[in-house]
Amino acid sequence: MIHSVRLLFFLNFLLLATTSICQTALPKISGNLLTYESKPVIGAMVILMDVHGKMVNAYAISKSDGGFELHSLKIFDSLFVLKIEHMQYESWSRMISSTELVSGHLNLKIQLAPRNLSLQEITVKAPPLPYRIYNDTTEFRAKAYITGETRKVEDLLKNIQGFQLTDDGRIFFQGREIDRMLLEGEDLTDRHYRLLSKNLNASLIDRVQVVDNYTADRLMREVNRSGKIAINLTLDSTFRNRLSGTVGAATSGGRQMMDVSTVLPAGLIKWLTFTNFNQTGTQSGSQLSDDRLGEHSISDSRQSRNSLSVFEPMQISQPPLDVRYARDNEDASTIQVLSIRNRKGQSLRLFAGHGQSSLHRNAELENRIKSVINYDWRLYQNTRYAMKTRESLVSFLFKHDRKSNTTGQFSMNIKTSDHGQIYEDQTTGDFADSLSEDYEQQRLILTSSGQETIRTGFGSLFKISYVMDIGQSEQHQALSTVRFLSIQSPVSGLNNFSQWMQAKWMSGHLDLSLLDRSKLGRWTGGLRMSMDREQQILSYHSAAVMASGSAEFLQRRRVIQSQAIIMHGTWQSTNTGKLTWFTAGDFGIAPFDVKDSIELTMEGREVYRLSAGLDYKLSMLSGIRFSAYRNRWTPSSEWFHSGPILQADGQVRYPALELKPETMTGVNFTISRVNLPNSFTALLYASLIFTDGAYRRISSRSPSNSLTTYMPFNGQQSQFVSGNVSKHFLALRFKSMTDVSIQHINGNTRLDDVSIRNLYGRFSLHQRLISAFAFPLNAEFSYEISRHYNRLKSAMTGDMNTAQWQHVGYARLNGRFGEKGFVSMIYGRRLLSASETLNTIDLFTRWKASRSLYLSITGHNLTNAMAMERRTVSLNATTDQRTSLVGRYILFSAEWSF
Amino acid sequence: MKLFTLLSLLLTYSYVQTEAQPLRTYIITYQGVFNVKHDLDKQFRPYRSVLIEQHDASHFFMQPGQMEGGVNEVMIESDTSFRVFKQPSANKLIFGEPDLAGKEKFYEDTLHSMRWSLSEEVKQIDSITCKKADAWFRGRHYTAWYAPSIPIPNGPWKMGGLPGLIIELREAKGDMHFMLESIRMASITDLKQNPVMQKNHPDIQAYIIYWQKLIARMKGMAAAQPGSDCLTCQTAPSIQIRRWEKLPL
Repeated sequence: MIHSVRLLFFLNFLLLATTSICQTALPKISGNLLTYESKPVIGAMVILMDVHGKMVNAYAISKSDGGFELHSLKIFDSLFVLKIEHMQYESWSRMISSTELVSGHLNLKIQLAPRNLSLQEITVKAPPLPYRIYNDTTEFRAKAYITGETRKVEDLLKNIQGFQLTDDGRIFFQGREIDRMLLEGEDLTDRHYRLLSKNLNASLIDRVQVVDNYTADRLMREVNRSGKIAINLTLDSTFRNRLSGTVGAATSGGRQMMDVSTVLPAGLIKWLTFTNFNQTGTQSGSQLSDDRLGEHSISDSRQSRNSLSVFEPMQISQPPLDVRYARDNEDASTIQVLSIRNRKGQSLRLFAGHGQSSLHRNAELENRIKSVINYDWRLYQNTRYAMKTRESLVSFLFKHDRKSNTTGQFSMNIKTSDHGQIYEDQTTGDFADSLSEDYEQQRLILTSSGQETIRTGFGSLFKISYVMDIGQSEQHQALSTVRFLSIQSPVSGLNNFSQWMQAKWMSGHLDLSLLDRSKLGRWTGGLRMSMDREQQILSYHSAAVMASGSAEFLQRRRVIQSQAIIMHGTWQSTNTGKLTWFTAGDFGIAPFDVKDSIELTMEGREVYRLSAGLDYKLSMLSGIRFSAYRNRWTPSSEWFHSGPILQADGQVRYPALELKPETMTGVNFTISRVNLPNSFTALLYASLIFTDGAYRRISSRSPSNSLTTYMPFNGQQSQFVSGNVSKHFLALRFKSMTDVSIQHINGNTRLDDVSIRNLYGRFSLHQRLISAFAFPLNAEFSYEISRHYNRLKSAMTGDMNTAQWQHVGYARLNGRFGEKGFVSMIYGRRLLSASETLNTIDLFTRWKASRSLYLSITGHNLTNAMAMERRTVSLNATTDQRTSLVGRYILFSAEWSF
Repeated sequence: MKLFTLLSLLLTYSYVQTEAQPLRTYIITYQGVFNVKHDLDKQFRPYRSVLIEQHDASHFFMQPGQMEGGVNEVMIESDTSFRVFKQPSANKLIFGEPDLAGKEKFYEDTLHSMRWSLSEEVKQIDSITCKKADAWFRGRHYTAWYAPSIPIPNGPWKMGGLPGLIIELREAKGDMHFMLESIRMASITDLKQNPVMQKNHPDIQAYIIYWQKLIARMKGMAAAQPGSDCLTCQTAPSIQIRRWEKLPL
């Protein structure tokens, strides 16, 4: 019993001692926070800190009754600070000594004095997201989109949501092609933006900014919403104020490639150089030629019209491959861009480039021509095509933005080009035929433009601008055929045709405009005056031995001159809400005075262009746009025709004799959706266009001297719907891209006064799937199915239908070896007609030898190199064309960045 | 009767006066990024988040962009319990979320129930000196950077209860990340007058039961679906509910 009592006593003692120790080690502070009116203070921060105010020992938030409790205090110091903070009460603090906590519990009653504290308004710069949207600019952090395969800017843009790149390097953002690409806010390449996108190393880039409604002029920016898109590339700070660049070299047997690009982005000076020599046929970065780049041209459409006269022989087959393959071509170009700015807002840009290109292509073709007039010919062709182009461009641009109320620019471009091509064709089979064509063209074009914008005293902007161009071109064409047909034909025998043409032109446009912005809208109004004069000297000669016909026309001279005056105006709403609207209109008389040595009948000279639309913003990057327009113009390209143009079969086109102004009425509808965080983009575009109007033109076929009268585009209706959806399914680890387009054109044409109804349509569906697994092996599939149909209904030739399905696809396997190695294998397959296929296999491997050196090998093999293509060669015949292609090479390349 | 009418008018007037009485308010905005795929994958979505802070009430909400789901994916945003009302004097937290019909329903939860572990680590975010705190809350680990210089014991979403305003909040995997963008002054009527705060709402247990029932119902519906033309499928249709807060569902 005594033992039991002792044990109990001992246990009680132990318990008491433990409790006591615990209480000593972990004391607590409690209390009540009250106002002077003895009301509880709720939500005050009660913090027990060390004496230096750096370390928080414990904290509590006062409750609804003003009470607080600080538990489990760690007593490792002799002095503490108890602080009380509340937005609406004065701060309270008190030193607490550890001796006060010996009892284990300190209870406080604290009264807080009211205060009128306001937090200072602050803005915190948050860490960047991969993208940012503000006003009209969407900004992407380049580093977030760079992958192991990303070399150039265009590779970088391919990885960013919303960008679409075409095979020839044109860049679209949500269906709209970009207008300019700026480097650090400076436009160095005008519309030749592909110079930057194809040459500039992606690693230099810090941010990619998509600027909507881009306008270069500072004053114009205040009132004008241009609807144009520009990309501004900002450079990584590491590469500012120093020379950096890339040197690439490749060899494929006897073919070499060399590519050097440098960039010096110093503060007020920017210097770019792009030099390229390429015999390998692979896509290279430096391009100068507008002819090769397509529609982009420093010169306006007036000049590019002259370059359109380059005929493309009808029988040349384009090798239907979109993967890398070696052609027998050689490109060399060098481009220098120097931009100098001063601190007074003036800048000077010099752009100089020279390029030359040559291409040789041989093809063996097997043709089966089925004519609607019941001939069925089987032909075997050997063709040789050679093309050589050489051109130089010097451009000078001066801009000033010195005064707050005046901006302006002046530019001058000089461009020369030599272009030549030879086409030879030997045909055997049901008839023997030999065709030889030679074409040469030289051009010299001087273009000058200027603009001055002035803010007037009453706030509006006054803009005066001009464009002037002077040029001359000389073309020479020669055609020789030896044709022996097994059927009776007037074109059998030896035929020769040659023509020479010299054209000199001068044109000028002067525009005076007023622009302003008010509560009611943004408006512009102005007057545009233009003058065109062209002088042509033409001679041609044709002879047909078997037909015993010949014609010679020496030194025919023609002068065309016209003036035009146009009033123009636009009105856009300034609504900052979701819905905005715009209208635009041009009215004028053009041309009001035509002097032409050929009599031309014109029906009405008034022209106009009207458009109106609505824009509904779903979000910053998404919206619905509807627009309608009606335009009426004179088909000036016909009456300003640069003389007869030789067609492949020796057809001479005369200038139009009769013009009926064309009208075009159309509606466009676009829905675009970009959801960057969800990696989702979608675009739906639909248009319906009605065209009416005509010109009467006579063509003579030489040497048969038969005449054909065309009245094209006499009523045409065109429907076009396209859409694309791109979605990155992160959960399933793949990206899906779908493109659909449907086009249908219904047109009426008159040929020799016989009405022809032509229906043309195209449907295509393109699906791409790209996997994005974490493991280093990924796949990509692409499949495109398309159908073309062409129906001709004519009283002369009867009805004729052609339709064709095409299937094009590839599968790609990408493998990665750590951070350094990359391998890609591509199998391409094209099913161009029911039985003919074409297969390619490409193998590409790249190794990152060091931080700045990449080595790569590309192997290409074209198998089953027989392709068959059906095409319509004229209004009344189709051809099944079998092409032999050979493409096999191994390309070794190295790229060094500095 | 006249007296009654007068009294009624007076009462209405006083009520309107009370309603219209603006209080000093802080509009605190956060830039937020949230992984809508939760643990399954990464699909980040930015949010502009607003915390309206008054003396004894706060209202937090997020403004997400539009969301497009995949072809075979149903996205029920039940996990985005982003609208949160807090009333410290009543120790009350009310959160809202849309039900399957898209109608927002409200439930009560415990105010700042997470247990923060304070650290001495200091970080400078812009011009604000912040201290670090960590907490586990409903299956996830959060790190908060709070500013002792800003005596607002609140933060984005359900987070708060720290000795200073939460300037940055980051979930351990980075699936939720808030960063203070700005603090602005404003005068707004008392948040406690908001009908949501004046009503009583079901508690978190009721919320859990609601979801348990819903999941059971959805599983039943999925199981009742015909197996289309798949005769050899080895797997039954499955329903996965991905929630941000890991509650015992």
